Amino acid sequence: MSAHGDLRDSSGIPIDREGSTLLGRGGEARVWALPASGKALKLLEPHARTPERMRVLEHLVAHAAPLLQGADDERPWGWPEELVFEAGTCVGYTMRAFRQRRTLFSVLVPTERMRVFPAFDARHLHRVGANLARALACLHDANIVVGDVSESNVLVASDASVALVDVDSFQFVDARGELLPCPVGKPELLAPEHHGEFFSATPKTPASDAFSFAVLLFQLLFDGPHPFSGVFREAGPCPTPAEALLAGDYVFAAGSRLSPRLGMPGLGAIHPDIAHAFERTFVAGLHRPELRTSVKTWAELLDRAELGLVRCSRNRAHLHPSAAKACAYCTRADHFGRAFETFAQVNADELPPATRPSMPPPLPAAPAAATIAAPTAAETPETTPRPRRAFTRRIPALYGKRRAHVRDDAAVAEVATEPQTVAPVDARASAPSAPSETVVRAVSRAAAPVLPGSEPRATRPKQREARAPLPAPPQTLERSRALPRYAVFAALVAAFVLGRCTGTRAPEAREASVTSASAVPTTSSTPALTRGSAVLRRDTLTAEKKTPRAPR
Amino acid sequence: MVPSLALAPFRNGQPRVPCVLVLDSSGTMEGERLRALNEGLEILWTDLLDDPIARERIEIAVVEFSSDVRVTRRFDLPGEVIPQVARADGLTAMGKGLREALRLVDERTALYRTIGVPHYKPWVFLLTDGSATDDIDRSARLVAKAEAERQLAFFAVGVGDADMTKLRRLSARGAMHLDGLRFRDLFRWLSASLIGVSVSRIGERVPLPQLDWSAV
Ligand SMILES: Nc1ncnc2c1ncn2[C@@H]1O[C@H](COP(=O)(O)OP(=O)(O)OP(=O)(O)O)[C@@H](O)[C@H]1O
Ligand SMILES: [Mg+2]
Repeated sequence: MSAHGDLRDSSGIPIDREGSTLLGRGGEARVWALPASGKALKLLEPHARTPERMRVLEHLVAHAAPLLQGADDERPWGWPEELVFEAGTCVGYTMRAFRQRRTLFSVLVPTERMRVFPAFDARHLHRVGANLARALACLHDANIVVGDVSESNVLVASDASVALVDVDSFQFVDARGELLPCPVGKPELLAPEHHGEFFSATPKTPASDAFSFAVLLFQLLFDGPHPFSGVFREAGPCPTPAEALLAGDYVFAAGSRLSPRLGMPGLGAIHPDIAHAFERTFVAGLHRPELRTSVKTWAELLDRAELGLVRCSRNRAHLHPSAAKACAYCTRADHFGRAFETFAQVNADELPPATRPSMPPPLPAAPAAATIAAPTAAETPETTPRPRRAFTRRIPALYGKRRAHVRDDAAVAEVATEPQTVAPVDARASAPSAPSETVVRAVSRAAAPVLPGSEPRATRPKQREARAPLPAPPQTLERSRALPRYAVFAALVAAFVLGRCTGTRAPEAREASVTSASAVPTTSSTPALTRGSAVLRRDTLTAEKKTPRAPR
Repeated sequence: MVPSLALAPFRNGQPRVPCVLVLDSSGTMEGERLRALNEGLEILWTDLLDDPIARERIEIAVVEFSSDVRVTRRFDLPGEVIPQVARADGLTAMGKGLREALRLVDERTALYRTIGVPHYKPWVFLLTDGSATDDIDRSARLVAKAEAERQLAFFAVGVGDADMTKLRRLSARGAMHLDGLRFRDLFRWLSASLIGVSVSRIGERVPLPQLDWSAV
């Protein structure tokens, strides 16, 4: 880390970097372990040190204190603790260092998982999902949306506990009541409403997180493949996962242009309720965020499904839902051979208790207009930002009274839209994807009807069958109240502010987003982009960011 | 029907970045140059294996051309065996080498399609220190066509006395000339570029790192 000279915290105390090691790197930063303090240091690349970012960090650090007490499991996020300065400029922050953890990527890729967590079985995978869902739900309750729920921002430990990092890309409302958006994300993980040219201007919602979560969970439970990728049934170029996502080609949906990838475990690998929740999210809820399975519901479903797992009688390393007539992994091994085995170790140990993250009293509420701040000078500040040296400007916090936000709307919608019947899962779904029709047929008989009402058939069923809707757990909701008139004015103001924030995208970047489908690797380098265009930043700068490899 | 052995590498569920290295193993490469090339290949390998995402997504094939063409490595994720060019002698059947590379790419992408594995644009990376002694025009047309249809990213790198004029004509992107024997830097650049692609979005334009190994 020689690139950085003298680093100090906000009180001017030098940061001891003796013996620091690289913990990881992303599109805009490197993260180092500091042995002297036991903390992690996130150093932003110069292009990421934008005024917006500084505002975000200022807010996060000002509200850090209550979020830092407690054990890792209670506060499973790398909340910024201290800002770090170099020659008077803020260049990053310190946070809790999460040791002995791997990114979620290494868990959802089965071959990596077998290397790094060989003792993980299906229970652990369910548990990782449930723990992540709980961490997200906890943040949602505090009016924080993660926005960039991705396999590189979730760190997993061998007890299946999870921690969220990259907190500075979370979306929340700052002390002035302004929404600080999360304009980053990977298209193949982003909900459809955030695709397209204006993605960075569309505020994320708990339902956006629920969508990204479901994509990751699908990969976790099905050995890695993306839910919108598979064998293309039509002629012509196969859509990319991001394109298929927008077109609604969920592999297990009836009428999808994609069928499951060869060698993928069949739907019999998961509990019918989980399969159903995926359908809600990827079919009915694809363009209707309120219909998606909420992270809270996911946590409950996964907990229940984990308890319902039974050990396979043929291969003790396999666990499958008790409802399944055959083990989906054995069925796959029968057809594709043992080379396909993705669970190698029999782990008879009990899992440690699930993590229960909790939140201190909520942070400022997100206004109902979803975007917007409603500044009224009359209101009493709930909190005053902790004075920090670098930010002499003190801003009175103007928020608190209006809690007109919609909470956990997805979960509620499940109750509200009960009568809706759900598209049945295709017969082919219950079989592992097999190389030929004959094999599919043979397997579907063996793999057993996984879902009631979806008996496997020799031919693909044309007709849809209704399935009893999932009994959704009771949910409560604060309905959004009507906006007062001044809020409309405030909405306009904030829209302007947001516009400024997100309109800073460099012209080249705009062009890049338009031509992104053309996929021509170019040898020119792109100028550094600001937070407002961070999606482009993430995607377009990745090739560059890896170039200067740190000596290990 | 795809044999399960061919399927096994895909159990990791990851999308693929296919890349063919088309390497000149004609007589002129013998000696210092070949040693530097092999050292470069080793660097490429360690870089790829070092990156958890790259090692699950990038597939490398190797085609050597001299008087004839040999496929010394079929498409696969980086494994334990580092590809090396064992010997260099004979002529420069570059045209045939390129056609073989294109054929491998077609075969591989067809397999991806059958299995249902998403993939990034394939890369063909040509390295030569001479001038083709066979029919290069037909290969050039095939490369140009694949590039125009956005089916391929083609890179040509000349070493030493390579005929740069002819190389440049191969691709719309032109050709690069390697500065001396900087194979290390070349392959470091290649791994950084491929790794960059492997974490990008499929179908997206990825700016590549600075060419610090090129003399142009
Ligand atoms: N507190 C921490 N403890 C341990 N490892 C960490 C911590 N914070 C981050 N990391 C590692 O560093 C990597 C990059 O961190 P982070 O996501 O914060 O950077 P970024 O540049 O903002 O990333 P992105 O590309 O997602 O925007 C993470 O994927 C993780 O592996
Ligand atoms: Mg990150």
